[in-house]
Amino acid sequence: MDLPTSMQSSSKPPLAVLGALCLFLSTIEYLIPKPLPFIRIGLANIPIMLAIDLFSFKSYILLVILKVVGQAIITGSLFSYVFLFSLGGTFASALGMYVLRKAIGKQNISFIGIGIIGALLSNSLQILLAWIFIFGPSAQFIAPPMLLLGLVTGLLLGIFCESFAKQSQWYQHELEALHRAGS
Amino acid sequence: MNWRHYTVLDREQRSAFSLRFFSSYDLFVSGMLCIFPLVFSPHLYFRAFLLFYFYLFAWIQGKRASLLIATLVSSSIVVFNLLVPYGKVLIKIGEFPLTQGAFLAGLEKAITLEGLIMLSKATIRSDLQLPGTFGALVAQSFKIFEELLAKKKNIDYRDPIGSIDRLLIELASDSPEKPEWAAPVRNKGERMIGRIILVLQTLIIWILLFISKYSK
Repeated sequence: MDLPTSMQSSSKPPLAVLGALCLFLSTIEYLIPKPLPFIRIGLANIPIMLAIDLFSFKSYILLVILKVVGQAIITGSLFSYVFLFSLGGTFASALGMYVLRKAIGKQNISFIGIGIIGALLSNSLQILLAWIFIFGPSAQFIAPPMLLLGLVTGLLLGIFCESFAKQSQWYQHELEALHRAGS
Repeated sequence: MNWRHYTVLDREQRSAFSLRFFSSYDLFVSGMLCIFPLVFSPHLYFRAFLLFYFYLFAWIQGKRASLLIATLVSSSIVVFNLLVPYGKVLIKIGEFPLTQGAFLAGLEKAITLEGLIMLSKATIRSDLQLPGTFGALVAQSFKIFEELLAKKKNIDYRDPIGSIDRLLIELASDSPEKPEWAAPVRNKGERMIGRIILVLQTLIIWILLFISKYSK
């Protein structure tokens, strides 16, 4: 598929497009029933992972904040503990993934690797918050299934991102645009 | 103003009612002001009352709020708290004691958590516009998000990567349409009534907080 001429001059900023994709995936995730409000598959983390190689750290953090706030506005959880869980979990995983990818280099760690690390970081922080705010010491009982779930979802999201980054023309176009801007 | 229009209580009409009478900013401010009474009231029954009230207020605005899910989530919080016993033993199941302290702590957390969720549902609407550069980015993303929702049928679940890629290319090149909620406000009179309702609601909640705090 050839890119449209308007796309070649990037009529909409990729940050806003990825932000919208975060909101869309949050909506899909919101419709999936869950036993506890802060348990998430993490679909909206896909654009966050893809953004690591596309944006500066400042723009990346803007996208992370946009994801957390937008998700809270869509699901109506801005004033609740759910927002705190989302904020903590997203920031822990986003920072961990960004630092790892930049420090080790994208040749040495794939999206699958950072996906798993990100999910484990996110779930670990959420377990800690659940310990403090909701369950107390009983949080130890939810830790094993949550970490296992994180491992599985992180792996699946990582596989998806790895394939998307290789096949997507939109992603390749934005990467090239970034390189052109840098050179 | 045709009041009969609002007597049929299907979700879409209740949602339209919210859009006509309340601005998202007013709802947001009233929500902010109601956090304190909900979180810091010393009385559990007052928090339970607020939970029920915000559930009704969310329902009136056509928000999705399932009592079944709320009950399931609350029950799971209470059960997890009961796993670490403390306080007076209420009953023993086999060798395991169910204690009053753990039960009340679980109930308090469950009611507060669900109350905050209902408060958020009642007072946060997707047309909320935040200030500054970040607010502009959020607004732009929400505009593209609305386009994405309109084109969601183009996502093929048998070819997720290819179809999402085509959609992103399409979205990045289209010029954004203005969403319905971004149109200038024409119903200023109704919005004023909505603002008065929200001010009264917030005042009453704060008065009730003080009454419950200082009455024996």
